[in-house]
Amino acid sequence: MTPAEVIAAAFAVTGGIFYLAGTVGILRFPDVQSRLHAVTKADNLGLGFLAVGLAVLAGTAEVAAKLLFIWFLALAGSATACQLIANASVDDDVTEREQADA
Amino acid sequence: MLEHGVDIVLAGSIAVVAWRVLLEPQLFRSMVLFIAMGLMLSLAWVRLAAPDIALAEAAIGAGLTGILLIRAAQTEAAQEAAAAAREAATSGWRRWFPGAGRIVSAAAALAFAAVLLVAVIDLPGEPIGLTEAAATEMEASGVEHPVTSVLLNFRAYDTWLEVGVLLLAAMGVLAIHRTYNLRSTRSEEHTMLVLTWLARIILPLAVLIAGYLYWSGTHQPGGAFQAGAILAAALVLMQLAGFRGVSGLSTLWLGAGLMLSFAAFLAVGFIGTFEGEFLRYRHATGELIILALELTIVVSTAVTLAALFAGAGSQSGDDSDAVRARTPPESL
Repeated sequence: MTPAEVIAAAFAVTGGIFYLAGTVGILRFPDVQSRLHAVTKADNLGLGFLAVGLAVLAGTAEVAAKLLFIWFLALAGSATACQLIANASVDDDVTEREQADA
Repeated sequence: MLEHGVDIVLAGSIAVVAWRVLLEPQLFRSMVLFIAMGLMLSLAWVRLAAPDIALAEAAIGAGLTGILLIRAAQTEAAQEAAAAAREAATSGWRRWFPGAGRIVSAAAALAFAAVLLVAVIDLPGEPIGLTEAAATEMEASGVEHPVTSVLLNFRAYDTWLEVGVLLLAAMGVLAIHRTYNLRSTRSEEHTMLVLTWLARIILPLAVLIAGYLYWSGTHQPGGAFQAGAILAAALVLMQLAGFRGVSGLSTLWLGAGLMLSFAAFLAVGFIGTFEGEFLRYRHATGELIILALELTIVVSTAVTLAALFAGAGSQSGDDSDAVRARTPPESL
């Protein structure tokens, strides 16, 4: 293995560990908000490590820039999705409480 | 060995998720699983070395189809139809044969799978087809990417008809609305600021990515339909974020956007008849014609797919009968 491959593999494996942690969080955490907390933070970091690892492996600045761009898009997308899901779950909680009160 | 392992896990997951899509009683979960299955399918296309199809599957099969399903299921008409289907499933003769529809569907699907299996086993070992002919003639097509040269030159006739199918679908939506534009469709009343923020970021980037895919279609995977789908996704996002999107278009502009590509193919086709054959291009101008036709495909695909989304959320008038008629009783 070349040094670049070793570095790339280290980044990719680190990213994989974050993905694993996020997935465990989805499966184990009790409610929507804490699951979101696990999956958005961990997966975004995981994808970032993966993108950096692949960028090292690609070797050209052009491909590295595309990978970082993809990471940025995923960050924007997951941050937005997280807000929307969290908001919807809060709305649901409120409706449930109102129904329980009534 | 490792490569086969990846493929086996992927194929197995697709089958399992497909099974879950069919058996999931909750409609929303079933749709989310369907989207996940689309993403897995696009991975499978990547593994089969068909990145063009993978792009189309991810953008249209998983993304836009998924959001169309969710949007359609939110309408009152669809919810009424679902309730009616549930009631029909527990009354009358169906009460005595629960799941009869599923058994019939499963039997039909298995029979079809058996026919397919026999057909695949019967395939001659040697690949027959036009691969070699297409490869040798590619230089004459005007573009370097084989998929694009087949779609826009050798088999332009097929592509023209595909564009026609998209147009027909949009006409169906307009017909249900009994109007020539989508201005009467529901717009989001209360939208979250974060969605507006995302739409503002995504729209310029989507134009950039669509332009990149369109241009790269001439020499590497990418192409007009994929570019159009990405633009359509941006238009859908705008609509969700409270902007008007395609439902702000006047009758004239909406019609022009929907029909542009079909009309362009027709025009090029007629010019081709002077060369001796419908849809034949002169070699020297092949690339220009292909690029122009692809640009019209980008515009029409984007407008059509976004119009399907805008129309799918329709609450207007008496379209509930139309929705009910399309919904098979056993499916919900």
